[in-house]
Amino acid sequence: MSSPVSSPVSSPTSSVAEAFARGLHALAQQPLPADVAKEAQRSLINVIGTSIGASRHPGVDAILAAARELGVAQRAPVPGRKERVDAHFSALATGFAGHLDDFDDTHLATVIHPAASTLAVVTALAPETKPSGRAALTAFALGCEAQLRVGVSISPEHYDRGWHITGTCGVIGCATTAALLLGLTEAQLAQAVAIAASMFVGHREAFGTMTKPYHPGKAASNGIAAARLAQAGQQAAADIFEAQGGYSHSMSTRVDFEQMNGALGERWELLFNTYKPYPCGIVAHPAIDAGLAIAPRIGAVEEIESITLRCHPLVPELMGNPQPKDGLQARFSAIHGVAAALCDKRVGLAQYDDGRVVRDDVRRVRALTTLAPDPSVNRDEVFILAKLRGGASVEHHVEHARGSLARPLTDDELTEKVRLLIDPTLGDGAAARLAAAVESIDGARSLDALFALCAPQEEPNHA
Amino acid sequence: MHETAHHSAVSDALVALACGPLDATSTAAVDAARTRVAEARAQASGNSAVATQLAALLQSQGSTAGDQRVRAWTLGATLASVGAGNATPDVPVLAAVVTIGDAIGSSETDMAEAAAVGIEAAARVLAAVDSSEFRARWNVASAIGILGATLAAARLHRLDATRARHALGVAATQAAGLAHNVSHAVGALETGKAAADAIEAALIAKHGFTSAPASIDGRRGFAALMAYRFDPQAIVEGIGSRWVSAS
Repeated sequence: MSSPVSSPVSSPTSSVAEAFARGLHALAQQPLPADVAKEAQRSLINVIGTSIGASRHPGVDAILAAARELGVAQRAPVPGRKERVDAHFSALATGFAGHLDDFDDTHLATVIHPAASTLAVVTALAPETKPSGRAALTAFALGCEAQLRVGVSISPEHYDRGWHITGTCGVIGCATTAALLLGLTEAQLAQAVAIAASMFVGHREAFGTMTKPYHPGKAASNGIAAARLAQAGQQAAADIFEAQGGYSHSMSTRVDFEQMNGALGERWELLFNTYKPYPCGIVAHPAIDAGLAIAPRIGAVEEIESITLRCHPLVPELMGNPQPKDGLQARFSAIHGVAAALCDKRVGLAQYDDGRVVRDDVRRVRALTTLAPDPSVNRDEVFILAKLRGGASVEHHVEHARGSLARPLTDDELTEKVRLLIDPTLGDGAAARLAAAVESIDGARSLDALFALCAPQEEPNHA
Repeated sequence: MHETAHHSAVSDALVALACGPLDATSTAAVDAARTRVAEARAQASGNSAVATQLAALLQSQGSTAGDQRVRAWTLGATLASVGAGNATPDVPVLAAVVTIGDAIGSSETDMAEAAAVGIEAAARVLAAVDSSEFRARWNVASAIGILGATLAAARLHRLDATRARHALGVAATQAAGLAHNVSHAVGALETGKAAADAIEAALIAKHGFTSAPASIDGRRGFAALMAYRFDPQAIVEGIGSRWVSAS
């Protein structure tokens, strides 16, 4: 069926799915470029952190309870949990947890969070397929790349209409990762992505409920099913992307297949993945940076008389809640993020706990804080001015927020983020051990040691 | 950023049908459903080629032969491949009802009522969104069938209205299947998968999973994204007293 190819871009004689599979399969046969491998490792440790950080959530409990009720096999792990379930529920739970707090990664051009669903496929299939570290990282990187490319080919119309692109495109990347782990041929990979194209999942109506992070979880389990069907010889329509009544034209009013198949191996969308330093909407991040920057220069928060943030107008528009009443509302309050930064000198999941959000100290600082929108300020920029008792004042200018493309999280900052997510669940030092395992993944003979580090020593009482 | 609606007359109507008692107006629909459940079960015990292959494949996930997701997917694909391309949203409903009912030991009457409710719900949602544009893009049997199948599953599991509404939301957000596949073998797989997904949606909602209140009629919900016309009255008006699926 397949013939040697000189160029992995689309050709007039093959369908979009076939050209896509040819390019991806060819890339899987060679080492990842160093910068791509590095970004894949950063994406991987980041999402291992978010998935373990959320592993005790009631939504994970619900998924695992459903699996128990169905009596599924106990084969595959769920990071942060001791239970084992079948590949389907392992993928569902892992993808859910990875994206739960919206604290994972973001490809800014598409708003896809690619790593949660892709990690979920690797987690679910590792016990069965036993990939080397290098093969697993390659399958992970290409699964992220595949879904991001499908995403850019239908953006921004697809997301703007209301689809949750992380699930609708994620499923195609997940089929790619699963197919590579299962050792499928190029022709089978083409079938896998074509089958996966009809298993799209995710409406934005579900935002604010557990169903939002269900989307990457289900994308992962669907992607695995699609790859297994292809492995078993299931045939799908080769023209499923370009046909009327197929994927792309049903999901978007504008389609650009050059974005999907063009320059595969030269243009890497994965290199534009970013990592959130704080578990809230990205437009508030410069303000939180500013709060953290001046916090050490202010003795006690009782000294504060007023805080003014000169910021991009989207900050009050999207994140303008002045006095949130719970953790979910606080995620849409830039002022809370600044107040928490000043009071606690750190902003992680703990600063968005319902109980933390309503305490007197942050309420007081929030009441003293004003957002001053200014169209001349960039989206990743902010100016903060704190006036203190006795007439002193403290100022700071954040030119580019941490985690933006212009100012990516450093490896140390990423490690610290992951530490705050993992160590409270798995114990001191767990994050450092996992970070080391991801750093040396290229030479690992299997993922057994990595997933052993993701498991708790003792199962907490979560019944 | 959160503009999610907190109330939906459409969800309320569908959930009330799924969770509430049925009155005398339902007799014809329930009797018809009883027959169809029996016919579907006969298929389940048969050994079609698609069933054997799919079951073996899905069990490679490590699941047992009793895994309801695998059984429902297999049965739904089998039912859908009879008269290829002509499967209706009833197929996932029947596949889910037979599978769940057999697994948890539901009575014949409970299964007939659940199937009647699921078939009626699916018929009403289809009437609300049906158009040539809709059929040109989506696999109607899978995309609509998952909604009816999930409500039927919720009834068999005796979920309360709140949990049934969450289950409906989990189902709506993954309504899928492409028109281009309907005449291909993949179309039957899509339709069978809707039954498996419905079982999962009802079960995770039973255990506390949450979803959008207005998953069908919300601003970013099922109808807004997938339909080219939407008539909520076709769902709400006379539901539970006028049975559009049995007329």
